[in-house]
Amino acid sequence: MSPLLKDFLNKRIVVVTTEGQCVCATLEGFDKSTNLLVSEVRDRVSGAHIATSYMMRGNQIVCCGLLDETDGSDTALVGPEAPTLKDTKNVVHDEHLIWQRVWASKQKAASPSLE
Amino acid sequence: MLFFSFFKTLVDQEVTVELKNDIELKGTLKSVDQFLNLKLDNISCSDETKYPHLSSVRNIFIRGSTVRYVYLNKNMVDTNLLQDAARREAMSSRK
Amino acid sequence: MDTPLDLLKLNLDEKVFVKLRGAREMTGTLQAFDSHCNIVLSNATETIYELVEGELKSNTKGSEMVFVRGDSVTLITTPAE
Repeated sequence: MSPLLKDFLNKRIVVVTTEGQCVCATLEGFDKSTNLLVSEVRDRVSGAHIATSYMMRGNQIVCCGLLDETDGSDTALVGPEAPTLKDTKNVVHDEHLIWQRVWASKQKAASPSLE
Repeated sequence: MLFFSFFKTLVDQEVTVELKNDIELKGTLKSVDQFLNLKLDNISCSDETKYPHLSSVRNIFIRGSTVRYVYLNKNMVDTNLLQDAARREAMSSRK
Repeated sequence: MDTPLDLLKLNLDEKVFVKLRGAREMTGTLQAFDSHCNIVLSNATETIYELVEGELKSNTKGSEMVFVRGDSVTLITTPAE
């Protein structure tokens, strides 16, 4: 029911996952929860061959980009110095402590006379 | 369904999508589905030097669940119409 | 019976304060919401907090119209005057 990926079928795509992994692959199939069946999987940065066939769970997918047909190489524009992508978990170290400080500073701003 | 309809009115407009992995993609919204998965055309990464992974990619599918924000221009949205639609949605969704 | 989200209806076209995952918060005028807490704010200001060597730092970013996906939202309230 998700026809959005139909145009990418049997084409080379870049897939970014929620863990921050970035691979190139040929899209063989997909379903409505964005589960992907891909083949000839290569690492986007190093170009290393990962697998000939791969099933990627929909909830791990961040985005799929269509690779430019004219640009033959999968890794041409991504040098080895490319930084690793972040994951999507948005874990902020000691987030509760940050909120505690924010709260304290707002209390202070609201009633400066209480100093 | 409110936001599905809302995004359908934004098709062919230029939007900026901020993903939960902090990547920002600017492009023309081409399609949207019921999960709010988006398809953008002619994308440019606002910090391509930082994340070159998507260079040479022009057409991209974004899974709705990984979107943090979608930045829009004020003139793309009829705020009166949108607020009314939100009121109606709130009415219809309660059983 | 009124559900919590029914009360949000009263805040349409009013200024709201939204707390988000990842030490972020946003204020703006509420234009739309749904049952997943997806929201649209106009004239929004986002504040991102971080601790740098024990000091609280904040960065703000403004936008004229923004859609916020509901799964990042942790709280919606009216701003303290």
